[in-house]
Amino acid sequence: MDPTPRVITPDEVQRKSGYQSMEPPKRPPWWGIDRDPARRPGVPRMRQPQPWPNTRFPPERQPGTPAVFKHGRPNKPFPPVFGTSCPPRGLSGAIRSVAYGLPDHYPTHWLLLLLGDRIESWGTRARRILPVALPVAILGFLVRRALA
Amino acid sequence: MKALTYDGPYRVKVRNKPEPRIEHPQDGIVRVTAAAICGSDLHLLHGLIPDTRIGFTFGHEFTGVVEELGPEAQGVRKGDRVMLPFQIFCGGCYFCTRGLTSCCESTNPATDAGTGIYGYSHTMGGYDGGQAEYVRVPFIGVDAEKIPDDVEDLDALPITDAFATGYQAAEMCELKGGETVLVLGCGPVGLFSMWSAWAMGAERVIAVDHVDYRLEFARNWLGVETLNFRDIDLVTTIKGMTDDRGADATVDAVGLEAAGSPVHRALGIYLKLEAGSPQALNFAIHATRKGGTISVIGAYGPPYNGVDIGTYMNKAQRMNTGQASVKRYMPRLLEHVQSGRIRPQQVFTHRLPLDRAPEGYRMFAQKRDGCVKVALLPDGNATLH
Repeated sequence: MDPTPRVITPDEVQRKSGYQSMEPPKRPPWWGIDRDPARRPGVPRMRQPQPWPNTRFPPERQPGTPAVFKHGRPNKPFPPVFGTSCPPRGLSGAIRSVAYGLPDHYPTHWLLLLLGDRIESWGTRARRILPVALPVAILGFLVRRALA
Repeated sequence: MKALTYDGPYRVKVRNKPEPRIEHPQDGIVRVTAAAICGSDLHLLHGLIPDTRIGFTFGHEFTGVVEELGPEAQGVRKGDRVMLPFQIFCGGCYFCTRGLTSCCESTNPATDAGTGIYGYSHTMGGYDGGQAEYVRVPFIGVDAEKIPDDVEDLDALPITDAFATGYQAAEMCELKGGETVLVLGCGPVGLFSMWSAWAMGAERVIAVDHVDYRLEFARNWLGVETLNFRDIDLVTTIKGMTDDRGADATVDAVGLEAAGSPVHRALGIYLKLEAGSPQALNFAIHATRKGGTISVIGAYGPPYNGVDIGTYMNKAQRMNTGQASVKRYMPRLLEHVQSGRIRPQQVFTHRLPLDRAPEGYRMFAQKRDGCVKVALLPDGNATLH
């Protein structure tokens, strides 16, 4: 690494800017404050193993029923902590269950999940609309027949 | 309690839900004081992330006050003001101990691709998010970071995702000082990437978007050069600005809903034949010089995309990727806030009570009213520090 890289001036930027340069750069006063990689918290990305403060590992297993499935990679253990929001239900739940039977590197896994999402969405919408729309439609049909 | 809930693609509502409870000895319950709507929440809203269930609560960027603690939760006390990294991590597994908390092995059975994330579908663990009055926080003693007294909630809020993500995006550009950095996307993550690129010694920072008010925001807030790719041929222009070579490093802060290619939008977003539009990634490959670095922080759905991999290979480029391991960035970013180098809350162009969250989503998604980022305040301003 060159310890003192050449920094071009705003004038040079304008001159070299070919087709478009909207405005000269305005470097802020704190420019380069984290130029030293030692000041960057994510460098190196993989550090020497060290647990985080207050860690109790391995965590004990969460009781209760997970709302989330394990995907179908053999030998993958079920993690000790999991989400419990919105458990699977109905046809969409069944499709999701089939989807999670496949490992997550199969495109079919994801496409089935998207299908499950759409079915849940259509089903929810139908359950809200049909109690109103169906009687109105039947009434309209009967009125038309009576008039005819 | 009141919580934002998903109601199917393009629809969210605020409804009453049961309050969360302690489900594991290391859990805590946090009363949310502020929650942000993130650009990646829009991917959920638009039905692009698989296994997003009706009734699920979004929100992975939030601050709050500790209300309740499980018997094994250590390190925080009731009443502490805390901010939570958007991932849920155990602190002791293979990846956590090595610093990659975004790859924790203990919190998500649904995929090997990512760890548990608050409010980000059942693909990411099925944990309700923070756009609610209360939220369950697993591993609260490990994950939570106390907010210093001199830092306001709204300044801490972006550190839980957007600021840390933007900072890591710049870090993944491997800047040594003197480079030209191209940032695709002037949303909050893109803006924080630009700030961080300056902090890491970039010689030029060029921001790209197709929304003029966002380009203006970037220009005014950070003094960067700006390009609207609707007005120009982006790749040709970038090469013209960089001695015909391209940028030294490019940040993709856009992800799967990129504009710029009607074909990719049709295939990926409307027909779902690929995992969203990879156009930002293709812009990055073409606009980055040979041997340059591409930093991908934009969210992409599974499983495949039409990426121009041949050009990428031939240009001898390097791609760095990954969700931000937020916890390791928090102390440094707090230092920047406390020293006055940045006021992250300036990205919040809109602050709304939780009841008006659906309106916030619409405004943010449709890029109306100069919206850059929305903060939701469950109790109004009263509980804000």
